[in-house]
Amino acid sequence: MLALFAAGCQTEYHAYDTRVEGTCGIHARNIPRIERSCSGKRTIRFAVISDTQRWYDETVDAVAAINARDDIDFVINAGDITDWGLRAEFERQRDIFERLKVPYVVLLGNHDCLVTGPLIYRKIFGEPDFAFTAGSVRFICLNTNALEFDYEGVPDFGFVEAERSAYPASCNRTIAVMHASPVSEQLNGIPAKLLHERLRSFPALQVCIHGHGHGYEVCDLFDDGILYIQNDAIVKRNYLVYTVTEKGWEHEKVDY
Amino acid sequence: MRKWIISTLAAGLLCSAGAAAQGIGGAAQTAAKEEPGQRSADSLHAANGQAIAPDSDRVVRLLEGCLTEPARFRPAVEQRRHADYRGWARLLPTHCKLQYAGGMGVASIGFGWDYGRRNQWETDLQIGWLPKHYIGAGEGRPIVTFRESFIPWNIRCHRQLGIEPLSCGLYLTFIAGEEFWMQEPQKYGGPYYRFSTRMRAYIYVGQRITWYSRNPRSLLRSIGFYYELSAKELDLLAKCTNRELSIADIFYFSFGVRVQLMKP
Repeated sequence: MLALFAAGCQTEYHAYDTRVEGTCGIHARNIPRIERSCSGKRTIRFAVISDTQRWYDETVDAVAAINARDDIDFVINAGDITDWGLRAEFERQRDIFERLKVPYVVLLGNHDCLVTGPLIYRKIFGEPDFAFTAGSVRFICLNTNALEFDYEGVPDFGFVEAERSAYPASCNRTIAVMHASPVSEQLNGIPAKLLHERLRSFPALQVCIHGHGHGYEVCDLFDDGILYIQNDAIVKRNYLVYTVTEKGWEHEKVDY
Repeated sequence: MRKWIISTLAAGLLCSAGAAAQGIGGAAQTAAKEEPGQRSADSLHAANGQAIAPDSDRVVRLLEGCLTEPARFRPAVEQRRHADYRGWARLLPTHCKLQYAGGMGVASIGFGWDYGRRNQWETDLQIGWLPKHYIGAGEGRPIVTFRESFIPWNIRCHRQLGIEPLSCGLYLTFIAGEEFWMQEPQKYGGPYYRFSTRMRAYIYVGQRITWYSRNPRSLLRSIGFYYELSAKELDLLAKCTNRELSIADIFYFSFGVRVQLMKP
């Protein structure tokens, strides 16, 4: 009887144990899907949600709203999928994202870095610095939670340089995605413009997308025409849709 | 599957708690006739007019009786009293536990005290171990747990078998390791996350079944098996604001063995 209980019920060795159950390696599965489905497209359209931590109801509704559309190529979650970095939070949020009809990627947020969070994130999603191609646009996704890593290797400028030098010939525009913006307290120890200058070295940097602040903001942080766009937290029940064409890009806030 | 089992367990808890409530009346009458502290299992059964079954088929008859003949096998609330201790010896732990999971490590071992008028209260101290494999560190982490339990009823439906249809309580776990904090590190420059990663608080409900030694002076007075369904405070907080989270999502299963120790 006990064996039946044990088989049927969830068990927990500790709230921060890394015993992840369910789907893992999501970026390794989803990035090729994004690259395949967007290959050759002149216009790509993607949705961005962010800071879905502990707002499961709102996240479920966002997924349902995005699933109701048929014009979205993929979804980016700009990080903070957990509030306390617990394994159970990662699993619950992943299970909601898995309901998306389109492929998605998730960035590492500062809340996701608590205790064993980065280990769990790596298992479920993959490396916290990653890049992918959609059409002719290269997406550079960075872990900018420097404070959580005591500024050791975060942001990973080595990764940025490697991406810059191995920039695919098929791409001619770049979009940067991060959780905390360069002027956030998470990057207090790093000169704000340093990261920005590195990102500007990529071909035709279009826009920098981030979360963390929980409020929708569009800022030209460094007065050079490159906009930093901050998502609302999901509790405000909206998501942003970006449309990138050969002529430029635009974004729209969609309430649901 | 998981939701079904949780529902079944919850129904079981309710049904058996109801049965215990029915049993209290008879037990209270019995208790009134006897001197507290002098009652033995035998006298309890005699008071209930219940014959002691021969060894053969005892368990079968007992279970049949509990299920089909409630009048004949009227359950009584066992006095969890064990007044053999005197003086300072009362400070000795009264039982040991070995538990699997429950946020206390893969396994935890500990001891505790039961007390109260009918020994319906228990305080436990458990030490558990989380192997390095589950924490991603160079070595495993010990976890210390303080648990306070309330066990309102013990239905002694047989000379050697008791059922505790409800145990419930709270426990706090503390995990060692420099990556955990009680108060947030200085680097945040003040309140930032506003919670402790080192300490977790849980509530739990569970049930127990206990097999009593036939020798009342045995050191090993009884051995019991229990299970618990526990939820941590952070999940309860999340449940309050999310319909999407079900009860089955936030409760975790654990089980263990409890050994009642007595002075020989």
